[in-house]
Amino acid sequence: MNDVMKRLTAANPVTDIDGPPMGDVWDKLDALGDGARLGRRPRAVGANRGWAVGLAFAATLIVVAVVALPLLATPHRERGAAGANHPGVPRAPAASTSSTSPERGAQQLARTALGGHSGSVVALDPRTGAILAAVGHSRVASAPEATVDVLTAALALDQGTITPATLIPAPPRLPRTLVQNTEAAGFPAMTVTRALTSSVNTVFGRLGQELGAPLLKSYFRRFGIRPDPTADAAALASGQGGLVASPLEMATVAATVADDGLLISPGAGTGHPVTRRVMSVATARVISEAMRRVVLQGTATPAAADGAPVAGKTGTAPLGDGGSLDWFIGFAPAAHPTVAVAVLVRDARSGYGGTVAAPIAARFLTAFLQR
Amino acid sequence: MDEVDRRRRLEALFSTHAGAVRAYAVRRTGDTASADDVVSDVFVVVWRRLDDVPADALPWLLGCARRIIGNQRRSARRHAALVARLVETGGADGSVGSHHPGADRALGEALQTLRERDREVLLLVAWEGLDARRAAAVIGCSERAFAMRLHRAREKLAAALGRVEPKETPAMEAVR
Repeated sequence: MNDVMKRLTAANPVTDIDGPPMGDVWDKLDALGDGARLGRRPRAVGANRGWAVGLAFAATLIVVAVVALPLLATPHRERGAAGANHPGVPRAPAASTSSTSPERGAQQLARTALGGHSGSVVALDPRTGAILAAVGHSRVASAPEATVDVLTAALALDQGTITPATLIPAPPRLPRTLVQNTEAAGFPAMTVTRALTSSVNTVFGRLGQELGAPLLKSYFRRFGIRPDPTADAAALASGQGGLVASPLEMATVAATVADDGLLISPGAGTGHPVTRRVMSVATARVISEAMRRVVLQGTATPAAADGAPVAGKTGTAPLGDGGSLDWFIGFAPAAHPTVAVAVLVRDARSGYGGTVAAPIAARFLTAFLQR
Repeated sequence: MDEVDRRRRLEALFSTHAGAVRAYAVRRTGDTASADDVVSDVFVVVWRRLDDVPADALPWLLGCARRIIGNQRRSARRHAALVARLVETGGADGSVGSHHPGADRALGEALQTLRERDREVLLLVAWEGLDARRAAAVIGCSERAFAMRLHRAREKLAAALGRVEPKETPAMEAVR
């Protein structure tokens, strides 16, 4: 009988293996909010928190400035530029890893997808809330911009303010608010799905006015998105001011839609994740379908990943120096999601969530789903 | 323990045990990618529960890894197939970081026929190199119960091997 044990010992497939680097532990602790207590440590991407907090302030200021001074605003429109590539964007450097294994962890895939960009990639398992990857400033809050349209739409559907068939006015700008469409373009009244697909700000501003600021604020808080107490409903609902959210929180929004409206508090796959229903199944499916269209024919066509349908939503804030803060949140495969992501990139050029953040999401999702 | 001490303790535990936890995770998940995620999850738990980590930390860490892998809904059947593959190929398909040369097809087949709980106790001893006391700590049972389970599992593996490779039948012995 001891021969059996000896033979089993001899068949051990892994007899010596290097310890992994500790960076992933710090990144996950950061993402879970435990990192703040760890004090200063070297960061893999970008600079320190002061940089990003400043960026969030700058972003908010610039949004206000752009909205208040439309004539001076750099004209940009997410739809038109969606297919453009960014030849000037530095390519992702080869991942520096001690492992020669062809397979790499989600963390490594996220780091590779982000490449030389300053920003963050967060990936969650929508079924468990587990953090699959968290790279960069995953806990640092920025203005979430038009990615919150997803939540405004969900709240309006669940409140009965609209149905999926309701036609909502889409004027160039909303009177007595700072909310206006990109290039101050007006459209015929449209469904909420169409408004999500093309990221039409005034539709969501209008929904916000119907819903009211108190309801919106309490809804956003459920996702950890922090509203400015003085912000008006239209600005909140269209993501045009008054909100700050981290990539981790926005990944949670995407995961919630992916999981048919169940909000799972992110965890490390340990303990008991807390699950709450924050949107009805029917609403989550409408939003999910709309997010699928965003990638198929809307503002996020560069997010299309090889081999799996992606659903998503973009958001963009121009910055004072001519650059921009670009968001993409989404999940894949669209019908049965196994991964939800948020990508936030600070780009030196004037980009859009669709042109800068979406391709990073596509790189990550393609690699992740092909593991 | 102040923050600096906690940090030092975490780093010390990581540098001492991360390799062993990773090896365990590779043996359980079959690839270094999943294993690295398990390792970082384990040490996130360590950071949060630093005061609970006993002086003999490895069994506690492996128990934590075991629960994390369990939470990933990896079915027992899939694990059985994985173990069989690792044993039958000597891990030589490039998916694990370091390979033992000895492939053993019959052993892989025999292991696959065992129940998960039998396979697990055998591998904790044979592959993780733990004695009964430490292996019992990993799965959270008494040392005595573990010894009993190990004994039975050995018998089952020996019987399974006998079925897979009946080397010498009584008839052949009679001829000899």
